Amino acid sequence: MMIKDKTIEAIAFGAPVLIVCLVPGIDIWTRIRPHFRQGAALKRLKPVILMIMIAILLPSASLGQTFRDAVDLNLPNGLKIILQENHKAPLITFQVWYRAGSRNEHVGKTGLAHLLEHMMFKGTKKVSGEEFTRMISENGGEENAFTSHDFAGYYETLHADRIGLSIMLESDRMSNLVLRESDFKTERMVVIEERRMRTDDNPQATLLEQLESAAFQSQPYHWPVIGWVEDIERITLEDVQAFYSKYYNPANAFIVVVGDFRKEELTREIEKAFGPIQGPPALPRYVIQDPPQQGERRVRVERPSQIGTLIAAYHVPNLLKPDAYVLEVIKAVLSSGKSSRFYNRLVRGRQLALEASAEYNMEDQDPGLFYISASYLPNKTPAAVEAALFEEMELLKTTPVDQRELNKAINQLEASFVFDQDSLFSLGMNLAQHEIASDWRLIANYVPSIRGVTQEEIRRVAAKYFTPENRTVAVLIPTGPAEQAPATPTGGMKEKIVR
Amino acid sequence: MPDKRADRKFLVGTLLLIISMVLPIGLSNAMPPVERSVLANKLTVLVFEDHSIPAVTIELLVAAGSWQDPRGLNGIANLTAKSILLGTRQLTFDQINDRLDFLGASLDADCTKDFANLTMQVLKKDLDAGFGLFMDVLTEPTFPDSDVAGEKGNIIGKLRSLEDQPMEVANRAFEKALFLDSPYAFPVEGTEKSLAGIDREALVKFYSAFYRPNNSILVVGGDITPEEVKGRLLPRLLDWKPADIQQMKLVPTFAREHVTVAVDKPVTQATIIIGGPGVERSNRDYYALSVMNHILGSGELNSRLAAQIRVKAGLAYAVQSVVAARKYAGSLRIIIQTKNPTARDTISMAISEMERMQREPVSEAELQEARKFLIGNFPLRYGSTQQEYAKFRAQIEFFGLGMDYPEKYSSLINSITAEDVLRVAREHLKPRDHVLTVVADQEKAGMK
Repeated sequence: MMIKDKTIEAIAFGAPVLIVCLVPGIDIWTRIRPHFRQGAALKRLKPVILMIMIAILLPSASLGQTFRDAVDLNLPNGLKIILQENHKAPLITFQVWYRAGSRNEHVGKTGLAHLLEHMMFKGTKKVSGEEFTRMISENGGEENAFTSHDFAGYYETLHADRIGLSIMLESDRMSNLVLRESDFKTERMVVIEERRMRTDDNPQATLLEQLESAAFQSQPYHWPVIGWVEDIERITLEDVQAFYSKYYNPANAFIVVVGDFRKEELTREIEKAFGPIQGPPALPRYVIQDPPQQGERRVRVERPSQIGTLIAAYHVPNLLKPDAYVLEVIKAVLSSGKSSRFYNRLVRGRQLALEASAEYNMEDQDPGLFYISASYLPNKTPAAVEAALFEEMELLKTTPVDQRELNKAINQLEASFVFDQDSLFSLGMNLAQHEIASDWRLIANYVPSIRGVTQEEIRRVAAKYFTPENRTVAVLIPTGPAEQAPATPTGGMKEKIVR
Repeated sequence: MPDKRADRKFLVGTLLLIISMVLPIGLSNAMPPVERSVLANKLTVLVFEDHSIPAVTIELLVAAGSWQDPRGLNGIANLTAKSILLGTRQLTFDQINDRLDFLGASLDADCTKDFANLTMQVLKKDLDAGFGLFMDVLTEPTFPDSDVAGEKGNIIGKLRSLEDQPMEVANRAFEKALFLDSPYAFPVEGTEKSLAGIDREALVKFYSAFYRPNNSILVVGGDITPEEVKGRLLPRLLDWKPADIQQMKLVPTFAREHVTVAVDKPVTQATIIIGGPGVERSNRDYYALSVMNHILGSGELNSRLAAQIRVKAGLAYAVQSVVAARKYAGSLRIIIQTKNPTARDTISMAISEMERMQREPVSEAELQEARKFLIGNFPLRYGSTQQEYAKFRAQIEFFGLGMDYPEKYSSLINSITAEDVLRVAREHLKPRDHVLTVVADQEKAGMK
């Protein structure tokens, strides 16, 4: 906060959903724990007649009051609007989500979705890029944008009486973006610098990129959100223009607003601004899934590093399958808190690892991965760390999880679910990620589904997915300068002071 | 899609009109009010209510930062903060964590150069159990030897892994060079060597000296009322015994002439920090510096540094300037990451922006925008979640900014003129006599 030095942080490992932002320093992502998730991605978006579908969620004690009165409506042009009043402070977060992530790109042009996200700040016929930033800034707002495999999201958080600003700016750039060659060439260089920072100079991010590229073959998750560097260099302004025209349309987007407003009033303002935007009908939505893996895949990354890292990942379903909730509970059993199995046995007990974690995001649009990972000092052998991790995965299959341990995991997930509702931004984010995957209403299923997970289901799900033939293992082998690792942590690098 | 573009000229026109008409944004209604009291044991207690989620945040700030590390025991403040969580007179490490996890509560200890923090978030229904654990670790830690050894191992592992992060390497090298031999020069975590020299006796001594109610600030916020705090939390808080605190003062020392620190690493991108001495958080110039910093390199795309280096030249993704004000004088720094071969060019560009800031007053438009941003954005910066707000209120108290700080912030910022900005730029920016830190492939960066 105020006196803490603000440093620019790359996304830490442990967040396998790679999200790439317009401006750095956004640590908002590290606060968001992946929770609930999505559903029928194949669900057809009906061409909607002017109508208002009000969905009142069933009251659920565990949810607090938070999602109870969220509503949605569809404009005739296909744009969906999801509204959640929250009057805790006179603030509003306004988010526009496009179903246009890296999964919508093609081989040879990866990184296009993210590059467009950057270009969205270069101005329209009416408002220049500079003016855009200045207006938000002068009104004390916070803005950023981010791209993932599945989507690109844009948001402003503003004082409640300034929300008109978001509505105008976002409706304007949904269709009036002006793409200039000079801006494009410069921004492409910026994105390549971003890639250097996030991935090229970060051994663990490189390892993760390599793992995902090996684990996924036909799924577009095969390539990184930010793109391969040669692809980024190959992208042209025409590519960006075509992607924008194809995907940045009302029927391929939705809006989420959370905060201090009155639904009726805000709906009118949004309709007025976004209603006139015309576009083609919604694009078909596919689920793209790799064929079953037929044996373990292994990747090695050898490069200078102080720390060894091992990641193993298993193909698993998303929220389309009820198994997703069981996987969520398994994640908590393995690595949530210092009484968790990984911490207890790998970090504390045998002191094999510096850190060990399990990660799983139900919200991927296409089936994703269940990740387990550990980092360790170079004096440990990767084989020992790997064996210890797999031992834990086997144990899930052979010995029922103790009922109290299961209850503990459920309590942890429920409490996190409540804590995450503290921020307007993450409330909006939660609604949106459900909607990206299937339907925001599925938030209501999260707590009941978690509560319903049984010991037997954990055993069954573990046996089904955590098999050698279904996994990809990636190992970071420290080499080079780090091998002369110094006794003191400040050594190991050449340091000279010239006056 | 030629027909999809609706003509919304009138909307944008209206918009500009709306913006120019609106009055300055009020701050006070965006953040919950705080009730302050000082207990008999001299613990300062701040309470705020936010009933939007059924959770309570408990934040304790202890004036026991790493600047108070005794000579040769660097890292002890941090190790103490982390180690209070390892065991109490009643509970082992396993018991503490099993109970916390069963509640789904979080309890974390952290340490900065100025202070230590103990932070809990717990569901309202579990408040009594959670608060009991909070007070156990705070007032009855036992520092079990084997667990402390394990904690040292964790810290050493973290120190090693920081070596793989160019920004961390640069920050550490910069602070070491800037603060010379004064306490802010040393990393919060200490070093492998200094950690080895810290035994249980030293931890107990440090803990007993500083972890006292009269040296701490407690913030309780969320789904709770001041009456509940009095009824449910007060008795246990009053059991915490005060003691005389040794009065210490940090006398900062700074590198006063140009220093280049070049750290050679096999990376594709140079991480550059250019900076010099800063001010104390309580210094009046902090506000003029905040305005200057927003204009120079706030991190927004329209700051001067970003406009030149990122938007116009495409040389960096990350470029910003930072006013790192601390309890004692901190630093001012510019941070840039650019590919090795353009390191020298971007350094020159950053220096010429510093010179420009010292040469001519900022424009009225820039000044207005900075003021409006800093004032309007205040509730978002500090009050987006219960935990953020609790930390913020604890720091307001710690730095002695006054209970009415959120209310008076507008006038503090609005009183800043272009002349003030020029004066602080001339006084504090160092286009020549700065510490320049470059973590890069030095050959490719042309620094050799």
